[in-house]
Amino acid sequence: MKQYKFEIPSLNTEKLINKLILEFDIFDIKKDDKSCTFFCKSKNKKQIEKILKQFGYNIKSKSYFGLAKHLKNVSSLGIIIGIAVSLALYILSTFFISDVLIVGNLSITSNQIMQVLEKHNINKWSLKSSIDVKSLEKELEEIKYVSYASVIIKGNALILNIKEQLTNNEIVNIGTFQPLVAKYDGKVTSIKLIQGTSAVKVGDIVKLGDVLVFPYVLNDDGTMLSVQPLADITCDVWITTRLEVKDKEIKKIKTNNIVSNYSISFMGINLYSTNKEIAFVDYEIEEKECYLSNCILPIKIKYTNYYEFVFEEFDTNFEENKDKYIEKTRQMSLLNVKEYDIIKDESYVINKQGETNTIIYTITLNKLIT
Amino acid sequence: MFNFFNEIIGDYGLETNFINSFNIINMSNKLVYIEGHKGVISISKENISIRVKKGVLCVIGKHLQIKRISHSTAVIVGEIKEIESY
Repeated sequence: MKQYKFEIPSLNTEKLINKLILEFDIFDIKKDDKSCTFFCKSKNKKQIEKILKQFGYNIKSKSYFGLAKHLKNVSSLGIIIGIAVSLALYILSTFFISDVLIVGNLSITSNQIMQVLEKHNINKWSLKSSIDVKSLEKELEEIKYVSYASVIIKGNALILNIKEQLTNNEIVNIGTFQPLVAKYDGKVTSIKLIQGTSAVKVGDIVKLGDVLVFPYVLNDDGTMLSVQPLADITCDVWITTRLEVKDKEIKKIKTNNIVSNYSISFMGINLYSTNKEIAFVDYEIEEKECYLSNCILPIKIKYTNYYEFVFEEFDTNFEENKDKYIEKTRQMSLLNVKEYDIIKDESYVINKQGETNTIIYTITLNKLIT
Repeated sequence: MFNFFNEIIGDYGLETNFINSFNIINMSNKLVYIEGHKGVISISKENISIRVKKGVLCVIGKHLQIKRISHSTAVIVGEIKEIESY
């Protein structure tokens, strides 16, 4: 197929082509007023080039085309040897197993299985043809608690699929198990029942403490067998926080007015005290007691400070500061969300009743409640 | 090996020297296959002339191009309007 492209001036090209086609196949001849392009097989390029020169053509351009364009770079002996060695290694590697995969074992350890493989002299880089799959399967099935084993070679991997026997542990200790109960309020979104009898279904609303899985299973004959209830039940859990903001709030503001009294006492007996008058309407008291000095005598001094404060009414401008209050409510809600919780949705509702605005912020979590 | 032209000759009871000249197949005026040509006379986008035994074959059309050519066969593609032989 076409692999090498020539571009030559368009004069007398017909004569040239007639000469070329006597020996070679020529492809895609395109000719306009200025130039003529054609393609040939790359194996013919040198001979064609020679003919072009003989005819006195000035080759405007020549280039590889298609796959040949990429292969032309593979001219270095080192690269060719490298590719050949890689190919040889690749082909060689297909005769061996490079990985052993064990799947399906829960209680049986991989070591137990590997021991069987060692017994058969199978390890990484064993020859595929040396592995007797059938006898290996039989031997694996002889391991305690293995009910079925299948061995296949897929590509370069030896895959051991183990099916373990189902034990009857679930029906022992009849009557000693407690039902599985909900740890949160929420709406059931998924149920993965492992053992027991489910008391809820997807879409049910459950409350904290509600029974989710009963600690029994019913046999085919209708008898009830007690089992340890096990299930992964996820719920949409709603965390709701409420913030009330009045149109006008009363704020307590401390003035800078302060009155201080102190008293000195010895063994509970008052020795000296000041008694300044407190002229404040509203005030806060701060008391502090300490020894007067480090001497042996336990003389104590007690300070009593009176801080004046006033109440001021101010406008909350709820509408203007709405976003700030919503964010505050959101932050309050997030305090109840744990780091690993998955937030599914966030929403808020604002209710206005009289002069009180109530923001109710709800975060919906998807949580495992068992 | 199957030979299209020999099959036709066989089917219609024609003489074998019937095909000692050139043969043409026109496929939907999009492709012309010529067998037994003697070389190219002229090439342009509107006209490609091919020398054949005892004459000239002229393919007229638009966007014409010689897709492949060897010493005896040629494939011309494009919007073929007319094929003249004289």
